[in-house]
Amino acid sequence: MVMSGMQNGHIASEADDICPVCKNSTYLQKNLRFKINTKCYHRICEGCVDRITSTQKKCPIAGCTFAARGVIPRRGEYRVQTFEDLAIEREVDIRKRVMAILNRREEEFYSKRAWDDFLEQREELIMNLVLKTDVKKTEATLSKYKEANADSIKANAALERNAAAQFESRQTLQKEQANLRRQAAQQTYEDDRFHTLTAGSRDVKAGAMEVIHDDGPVSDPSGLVKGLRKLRPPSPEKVYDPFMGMATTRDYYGLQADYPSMRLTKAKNDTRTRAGGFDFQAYYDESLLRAFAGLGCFIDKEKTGQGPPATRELATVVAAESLPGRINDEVF
Amino acid sequence: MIEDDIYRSSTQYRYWSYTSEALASLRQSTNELASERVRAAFGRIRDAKKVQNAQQSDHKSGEGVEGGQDPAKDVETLTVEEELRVVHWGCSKIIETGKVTTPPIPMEIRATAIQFLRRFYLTNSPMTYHPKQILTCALFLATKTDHWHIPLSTFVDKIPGTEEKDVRAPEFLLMQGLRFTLDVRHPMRGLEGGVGEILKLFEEKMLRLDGPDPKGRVGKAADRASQFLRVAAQMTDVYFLYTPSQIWLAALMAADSDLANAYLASKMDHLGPAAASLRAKLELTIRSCADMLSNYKSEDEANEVEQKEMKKEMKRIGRKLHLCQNPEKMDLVAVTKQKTAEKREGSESDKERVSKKRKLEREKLERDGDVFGPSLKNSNA
Repeated sequence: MVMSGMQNGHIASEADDICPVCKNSTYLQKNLRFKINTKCYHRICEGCVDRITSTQKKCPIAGCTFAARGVIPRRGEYRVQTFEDLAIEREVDIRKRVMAILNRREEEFYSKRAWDDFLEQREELIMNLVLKTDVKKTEATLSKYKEANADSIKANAALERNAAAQFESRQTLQKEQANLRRQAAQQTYEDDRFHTLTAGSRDVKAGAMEVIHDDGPVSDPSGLVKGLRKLRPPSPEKVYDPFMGMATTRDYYGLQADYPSMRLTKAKNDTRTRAGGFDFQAYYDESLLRAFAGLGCFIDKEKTGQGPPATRELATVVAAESLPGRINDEVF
Repeated sequence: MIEDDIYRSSTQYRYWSYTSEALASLRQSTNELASERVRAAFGRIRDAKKVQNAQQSDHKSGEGVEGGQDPAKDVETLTVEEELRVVHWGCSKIIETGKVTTPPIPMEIRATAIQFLRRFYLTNSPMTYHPKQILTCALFLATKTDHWHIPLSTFVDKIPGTEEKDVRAPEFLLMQGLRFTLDVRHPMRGLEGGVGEILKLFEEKMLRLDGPDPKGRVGKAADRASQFLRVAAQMTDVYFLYTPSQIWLAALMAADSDLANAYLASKMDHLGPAAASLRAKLELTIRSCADMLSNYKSEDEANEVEQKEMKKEMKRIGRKLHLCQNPEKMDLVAVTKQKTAEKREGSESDKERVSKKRKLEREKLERDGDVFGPSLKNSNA
């Protein structure tokens, strides 16, 4: 089936372009501009667009299927042509519309295969619409999917916008940076700092989702797209622990500010010691730790396996290491 | 308890803590193995002598009859108890040796050296390596590990009859005997912290002490406990059997049992239900450790008759050890030298193999004639 709008007037730039409605030509009117209808892709001049949208309420081209169906064109539905070939114009529009609905991202998919399947599926839907095969069915599928996945579509669209905005801002930042570098070549320190700042922001994906790996592939609520991962918003970054989980608290004692007469009485009142930064607290803590470390370790029980050490790994280590009867062989 | 886990991660707990049975059986097996080796060594010497004798008798035929006593037949080896006495002698020697430098080596470092020696003799026997060969090395190693630096030359100057090489030679051997773990956790520092806490509790009226001068009493008890830790704890097996915190509490108990009990009770009450489960066991353990410490009697404390007896016994063991000392390990310096030389140039068997190969090649050449073959003249004729 050939589109009705493509039979005539597909060369916008040619000098003797004629409007099919009013028969004005660019030959006589240099500033004559054409617009296309985004539904039937018929091309008429701007004057006719104004006139038709205010009075006639249908596409004026003879034999237009949309006009026959009584579809009323609005002023907003006419726009300036982008591509010379109207078929491409139409395909690009369809593509835009479908991609806005089926806007899944690659990281959402469980496997590369699932992602590829999705791409193929989307292409098929687009081509259905372009070539007008199974249009009704395709439209139904799309609207069903759109309804079921409203949230995810919105989120993905936001992400895309964000990424685009970030890209733009980065671009402008880089431009600014280049400017700055050019302007103030001496202020290298300042420049470096700026560079690291901008470089640091490059890695952060705008609100990217965290992936839960454990569950198998799932399909979307409407059942159209398969092989998706389950996603959840990223958890907040953990606080850095320099002790790597080692306990810094104490069970047997609570450290006091000061202890009497621990052979330090003299040193405590000595300005030279204090000025040197000697930490008496650390000294007390070490002494008390030595005093109580191992108070509850009963070797006769633990080494025979009756009361094993607190952690299992340690228990195995101790059992392996403390085997008696291991005699040193000839050493030299 | 967090502190207990910290201690459990130490090498002293992982490698050097034993039940009394395990300790005894370890010493027994060490003794048996060493005895076997001593006999084998004497056997080798006897064989060598026999060969020598046989060669001599070839020269002076008829005269060579099996002369002299057979050394391997009646080698009387030390028992485990006798070995322990020898190690004790080594420990007391370390304490004495530490006094000769100026300033004297601190008691904590001497204690480290003593523990090195004791650990070393868990898997080695005095019959193989005499403590007098090891102890200077142990003491010097302890000064190094505890950051009390002293140059080897200065150290050796103060100890009569010792050269630098004598201290250096057994170092690797000692390290290996220690399983390359040099961390010794002493109870002395723990005692310091504990006494500090006792005084603090007393000041805050959380610990009641009787007597006219409670603070003085604590000080005295601490001094006595410290004395226990310096001598009795070093001369007995408490380091192997108990943890440092149990040892210092035991020393305090041996010094002033009322004070120690009162402190323990208040401490346990303070800790609440978490400590309730280990209270009975802890008291039992500390009591047994305290008994061990207070039962130890040093030579100076014994009365005259006992001292005489001890000296006599020591002399007897000394003579016995002299007879059953492993002859192959007598000169540690030479043994070390030989081993390092072997490492550098390959072992004895390697050398033999090389010389044998050369001999074979030479013989083959001789058999085949000259390298360049027979002369042309001869072949023509």
